[in-house]
Amino acid sequence: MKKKEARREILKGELVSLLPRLRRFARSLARDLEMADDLVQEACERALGRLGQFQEGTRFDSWLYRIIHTRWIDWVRKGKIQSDHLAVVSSKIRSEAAEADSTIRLDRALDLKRALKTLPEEHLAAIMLVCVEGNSYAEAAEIMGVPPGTVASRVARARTVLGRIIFHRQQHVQRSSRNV
Amino acid sequence: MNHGFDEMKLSAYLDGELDTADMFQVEETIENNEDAQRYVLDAVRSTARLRAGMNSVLQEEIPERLLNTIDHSERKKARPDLRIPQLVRIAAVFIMVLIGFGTGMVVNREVVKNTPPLMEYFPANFSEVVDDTLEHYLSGTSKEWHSQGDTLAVKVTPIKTYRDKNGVYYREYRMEMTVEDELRRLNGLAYRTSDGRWKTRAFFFDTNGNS
Repeated sequence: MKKKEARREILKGELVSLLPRLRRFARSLARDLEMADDLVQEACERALGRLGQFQEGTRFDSWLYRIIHTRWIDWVRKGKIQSDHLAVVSSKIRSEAAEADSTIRLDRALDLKRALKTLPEEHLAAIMLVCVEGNSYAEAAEIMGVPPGTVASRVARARTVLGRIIFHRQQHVQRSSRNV
Repeated sequence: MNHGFDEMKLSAYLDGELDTADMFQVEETIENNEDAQRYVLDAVRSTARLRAGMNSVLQEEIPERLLNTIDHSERKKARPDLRIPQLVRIAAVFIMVLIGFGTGMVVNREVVKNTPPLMEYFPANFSEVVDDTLEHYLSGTSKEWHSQGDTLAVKVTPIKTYRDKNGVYYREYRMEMTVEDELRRLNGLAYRTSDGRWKTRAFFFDTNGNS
């Protein structure tokens, strides 16, 4: 019994340390600040109620991502996810605004937002899991419940869309400003 | 569009998911194909932008409710829920406007005498209109809002964007309100909060007719 309790406390501590990353992933799915935290809260409740199902030796974060992704799919099916507002602004882009053309820097953050709003949720989830959360295609496939080839395809498409929207628009702005 | 290379293979190459033979093949393609080079550059930059954009969440304070969910009993003091209902936020803006107007919080503009109270002209979802405009519209572009029956029309135009010494984003904006065919102009100065919303800090009237 003590061993079980000790294990539970260790996993709870690990869960707390993973909250920032879980929130980051949830926010890419839910695209709404409060709803993302609702998603994480529900996932935490589920995880805590099913700690006995977590297999030692496997990745705890992947198990949690899977719970979040499964809950999100359930919410989409039930029509709970409606907002497409994404309130994240790049802190790194913000740091560029110390230059004189701060308006252009802020506009780049807005470009990212627009690009993310264009991506289908499953493509955004795939590129988030691989490129931001650092999962392999196989790990992301396990989380999303799809074949690795599907993950590869979604990541490639997401990259194409992001590159086209963000940098095609900047090239257009640069051409326009040169013509003034 | 196919420019002589396989986008999925290039993407997998960037993720380290190719075997050795495919990796060499892709590297040869990149070396000889300008479109492939551009794809790789755009992919690397857009991924970096995505990572930077999402990483700001990692710096945020964890909401108390999430910590309480994990272990409620270990929390010694719980902070009150700081989410402010929409109506309270709107009311806070009105109060701030009245305080600002009353104490002469006017920047390089004259206070117009006998100006009617501002609040009766503000649409009920004023803060939402401004918030949406400042978050999504570039400087020089406008968002318009009309009340039902068109008795009130509001046009919000961001004018300038900058950061203060603490790194907080500010946007100055112009608001033009047409109330019963009478046009009124005022400028606002708003800052961006950590949760992505814009809050107006001050209002001032432009008595020079400049907008």
